[in-house]
Amino acid sequence: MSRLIDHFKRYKFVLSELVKKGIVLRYRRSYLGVFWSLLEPLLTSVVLYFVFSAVLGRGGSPEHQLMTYGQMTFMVYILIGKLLYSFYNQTTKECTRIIRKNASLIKKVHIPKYLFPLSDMLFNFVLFLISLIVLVGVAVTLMFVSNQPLPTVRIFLCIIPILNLVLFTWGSSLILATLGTFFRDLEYLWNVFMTLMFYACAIFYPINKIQTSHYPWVAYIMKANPLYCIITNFRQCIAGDGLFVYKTSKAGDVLAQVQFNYLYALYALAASVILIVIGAIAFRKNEDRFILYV
Amino acid sequence: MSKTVLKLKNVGMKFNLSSEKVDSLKEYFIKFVKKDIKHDEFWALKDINIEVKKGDRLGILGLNGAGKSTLLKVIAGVYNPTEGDVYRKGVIAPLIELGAGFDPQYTGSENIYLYGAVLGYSKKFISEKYDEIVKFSELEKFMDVPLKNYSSGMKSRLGFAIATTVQPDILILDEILSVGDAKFRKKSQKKVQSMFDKGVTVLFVSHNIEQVKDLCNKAILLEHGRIIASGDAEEVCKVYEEKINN
Repeated sequence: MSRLIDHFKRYKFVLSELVKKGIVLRYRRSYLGVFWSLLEPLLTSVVLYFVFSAVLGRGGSPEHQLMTYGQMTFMVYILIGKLLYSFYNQTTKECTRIIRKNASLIKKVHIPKYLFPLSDMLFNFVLFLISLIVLVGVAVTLMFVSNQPLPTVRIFLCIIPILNLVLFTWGSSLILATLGTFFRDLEYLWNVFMTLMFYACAIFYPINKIQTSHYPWVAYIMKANPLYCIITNFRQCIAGDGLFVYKTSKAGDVLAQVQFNYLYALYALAASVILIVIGAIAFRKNEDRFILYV
Repeated sequence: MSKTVLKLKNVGMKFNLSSEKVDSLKEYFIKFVKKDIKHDEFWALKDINIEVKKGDRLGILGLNGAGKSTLLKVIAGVYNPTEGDVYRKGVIAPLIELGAGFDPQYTGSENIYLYGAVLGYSKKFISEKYDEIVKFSELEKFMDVPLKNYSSGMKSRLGFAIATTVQPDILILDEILSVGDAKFRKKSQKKVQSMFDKGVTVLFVSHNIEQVKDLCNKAILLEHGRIIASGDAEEVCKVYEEKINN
């Protein structure tokens, strides 16, 4: 244990420097600076909102929205999905080539290799936290506009899905960083997979739309997606029905949607832990060989 | 009896030399189906036993491809050896690959912190030494300029200043440093000399026999990844000279 603390003390400065480097370099060259990370998810969500409410007839009247998404407007619903998905997508995508990207360092100095995916994830996490400002802004605005009840203390519970998201991302990143070093084309494969993931996270539609469709079994596959579970639970923290009280809704089919789902939380946590264990073992076993492949 | 600061025991470093490097899933799959994955093994280092005592200055001789750089990288911890153990004690200052970790988009002062962190310095230490580093590198005017606008001489001056700001226990030198112009070279050699005077342990790689004789009290000679002679610098240099002349 004391070795672990020593190790942490020794490398925390490198880690913070690497995280800082990521943030500084991303925004130095752009005029809007950090505002990009606020603007980008907002604009994407607006696009998604118009596409799916206007063209496909989702969203609809305020009454309809409330019924379908608990006490949440469609815009907020989309935005949450989009922000959480983006964090996972961005981090894992970058991690498939993170070791090669830092080849010059790895080849020349002694440095623990896990610092690269870790710093990348932390850097993306900082951006994610910044982009949550957009969510707060939009949610508060819409709350007044559509006259919705104030969020309750339950909102603090959203720490659980956020932590879970970080763990899940970390496990995935470790595995991808290891594999991506040996197989360069994993990057493209993963991009395709993330497109699938985009739809499998129910970012812009409620899952009960699928449950009532011709292919209800698809919903089960989606629920097996830990990221979906995390996103759903995050939504429930922002706006849902009772936390501990099982409140019946007028629209019976909505219930699964608006409860903070402890089963989901447990499942996503278990999946994350398994990924982290696999990833850590794979990474440790192969990290000495990275240098021969970069 | 002085203390051992560096000890390599039966160290071996193996590389896989595949004639065609398989580094994509597609290729791997094709080769797997065709049962065509082969690994040619190559030992860049084998059975290396070195013991360096405090204050020793060890010269490492060898022709190109003998494994000198690989040995230095194993000692510096960049490579983890395939077999054997490396024992190090104290701060190692590898004056090889100066400026590894510099980011071209970053300014000079940002790079001081970044590279310092990579070398394992603490934030406090760099803040204390910051002025000294800037002064030594003579780059006061360029601290807010991105590194991509530096000349290569400026970059290596900065790298040298950062890497030598610490008083190391073990100094790794690859050839005699030739950093920057004649004036800076003189300055940098003075700096290295001052480390020598403080009794630092030195590992010195060179092709120049005269320099090794001057500088080192001990030496090893590498050939094909094995030590073929070790001991007193003069004697090993003699063996090396014979090798060359044959």
